[in-house]
Amino acid sequence: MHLEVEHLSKTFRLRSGFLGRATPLAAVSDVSLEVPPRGSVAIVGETGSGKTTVARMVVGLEIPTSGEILADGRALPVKPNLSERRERARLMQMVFQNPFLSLDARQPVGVGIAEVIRHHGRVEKSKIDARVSELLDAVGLAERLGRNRPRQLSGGQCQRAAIARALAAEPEMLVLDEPVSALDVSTQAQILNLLADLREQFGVGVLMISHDLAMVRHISDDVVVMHRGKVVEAGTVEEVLDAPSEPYTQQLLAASPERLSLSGAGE
Amino acid sequence: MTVSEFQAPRDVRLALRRVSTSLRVGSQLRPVVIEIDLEVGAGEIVGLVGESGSGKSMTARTIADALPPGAAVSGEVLLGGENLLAMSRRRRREVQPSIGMIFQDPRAFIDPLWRVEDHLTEGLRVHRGLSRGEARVRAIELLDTVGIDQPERRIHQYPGEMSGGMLQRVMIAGALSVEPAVLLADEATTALDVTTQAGIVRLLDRLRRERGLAVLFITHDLALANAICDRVCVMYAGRIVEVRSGRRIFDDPRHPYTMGLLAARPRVDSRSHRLPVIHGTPINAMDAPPGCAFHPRCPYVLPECRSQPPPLVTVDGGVARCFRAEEGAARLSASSHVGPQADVALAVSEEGT
Repeated sequence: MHLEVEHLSKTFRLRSGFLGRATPLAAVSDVSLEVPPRGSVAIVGETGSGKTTVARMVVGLEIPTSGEILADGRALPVKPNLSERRERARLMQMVFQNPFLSLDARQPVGVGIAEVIRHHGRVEKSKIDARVSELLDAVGLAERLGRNRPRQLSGGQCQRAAIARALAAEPEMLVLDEPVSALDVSTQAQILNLLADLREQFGVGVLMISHDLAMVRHISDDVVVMHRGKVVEAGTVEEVLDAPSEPYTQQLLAASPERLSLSGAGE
Repeated sequence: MTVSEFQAPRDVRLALRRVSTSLRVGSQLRPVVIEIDLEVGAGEIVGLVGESGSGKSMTARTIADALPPGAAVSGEVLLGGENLLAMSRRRRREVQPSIGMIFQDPRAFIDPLWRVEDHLTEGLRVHRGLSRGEARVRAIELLDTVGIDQPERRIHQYPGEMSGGMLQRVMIAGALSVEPAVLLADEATTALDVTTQAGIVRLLDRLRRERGLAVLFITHDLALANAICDRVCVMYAGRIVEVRSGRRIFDDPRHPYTMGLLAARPRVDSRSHRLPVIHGTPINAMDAPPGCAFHPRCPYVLPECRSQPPPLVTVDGGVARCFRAEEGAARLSASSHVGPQADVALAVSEEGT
C-alpha cells in the first residue's frame, strides 16, 4: 500500500472549566508525508509535537479537521461507516507503546488473535487455530504462550503478542507508536530485529512514531521531524540524522544520550 | 577485594557495605538485593544501571527507608559514617531527610491540590523550623537554583499547570530544600523528552559541581549513565556485576551482561543490519539459578559458571564479577564459537521474550 498524507490538520477544542469558553489548539497543522509500498517512515518529535495525533488520524482513531489521507491514490473517508472502518483496519493496524494496556487483560492472547482473524473473515473457521499458531510462530512466541493472559507474559512477549494480533488482519501497513520504549533494553533489540524480519517476510510498510533517534536510524528509511504540530524537516534517515539542517533537529540529536555532552553548555 | 576498595572518593557521603534486602512474599523472605557495596562521594554522580528485576530501585528504596512492610535488610547503609540500619526509628527519622529523592513520575509524588509553595515550604518549616515568610523566600531561591524562570509567579501554581520537566525541577528544588547530603534520582528523567532530560541532567551536573551534591543516579540507560556519571555500577539479578568509570565501561566492558547491553543498543550514528541480542529475559534475584545468575543467557559460559558464584575480579579501572573478566570482549568473542555476533540467527527462533 502506498500511503499519502496531504495537508493534514487537527484542531482540538479545549474547554477550561465547566461552561468555560472553548479555545482551539492546533495539535497538527498542514502535515504531509508519504509511506511508499513496503517503505518504513518514522515521525519523530517530543511531547506535544502532534506525532501521535497524526498516527491516530492515519488509522482512523481521530477525525482530521482538514486534509486527506490516501491509500494507493484513493482518499480514505473522513468519517468512515462500519464497513469502511473494517476495510481500513484491514489495510493498516496499530501497535501501541504499552501492550499491557492495549491488550485485553482478561483474554488469553491467542484468543485475541483468533478474534481479529474471525473479524476480517479471510480464513476458514476450521483453519483459524492453525493460523493463530502460525502468527505466534512468526513473532517468535511458543504456541503454548497463546493460552496465557497478558499479565502472565513478560513485556517483550506481550509486545510480540500485540504485533501478532496486528498481523492477524493481514495488514499492508503497521503503524507503531513507540513500540519498544516500555521494554527492557535487552528486549528492545529482540523486538527491533523482529520488526525487520516481519518487514522482509510479509512486505508490510511501517509508519513508526518515536522520540528515539537511534531506533529510527535502525529501522526507518525516511524520517519526518515534527515540532509543535508542524513538519520542520523531512528526508532520508541519512540526510536528516547525518546533516540536519533545522536547529530543532540538531537540538534533538545533541540531546540524545549517546551524544549528550555536559561540558560547558548551559541548561 | 571488595567493590569499595578501589573507589576512593575524598569525602564519602553515602556508603553501602554488603547490603542485602529481602521482601516478604507470603511466609517467605525473597532476596531482591544481594551484598551490594557502593560509595558516593561529595560532588560525585554514581550510576546504578539495570533492567527490570535487577534490584536497582530496591537498592534506592533500601537507602530511602521506603521498603514495603516485612522487608528485611542486612549490612550497613552509612550516611556520613553513621549506620542508618543500626539506629533507632526516631534517630532515623531525624537523619533520613538528608537523603533527598526524586522519581520517574513527579506527578505520582506531588499532591495535585498543593501549590508549588506548599510543597517546597513544608520541609523547610517542619525540618528547619522556618516561619512561613522565611520559607517562601527560601523556596523562591530554590526555584531559581533549579533553573525555573519567574519563580515568584511559579510558586503560586499548581502541579497541573506545569510541564513534566518543570515539575521534575520542582521536585529537585523540594529535595534540595533540606540541604541533603545525598540525592537519589530513580529513573528521574525516563518519562521526559530528550531535550528536557538533557536539561535535568545538566542541572544535576551543575548541582554536584557547585554544591558538592552526591548523586546516586539510577537508570536503565547505559548511554545516559555514561554521559553523566563518574562511575557506573551495572546490576543484574540483585547483584552489582561490574563497576567502572563511565568511559571504560563503554569502551571496554568486562562483564558479558554489560557487553550484551551495549551491543543490543541501536546507535544514533550508524546503522547495523541486525542488533546482537541477549537471549531470554532479565530475572529477579529470587529466580536466580546457582552459580552466576547470568549464566543461562551468557554466550561465554564455562562449566564453573553453572555451579560457583563468580569472584569479583579487579580489571582496568574497576571490578567485574565474572570468571572471564580479564579477557575483554575481543578475546571472548574470538574464543567462543557462539559469540554475540554469531548467535544472531538463534534470536528469532528462540521462544520469544
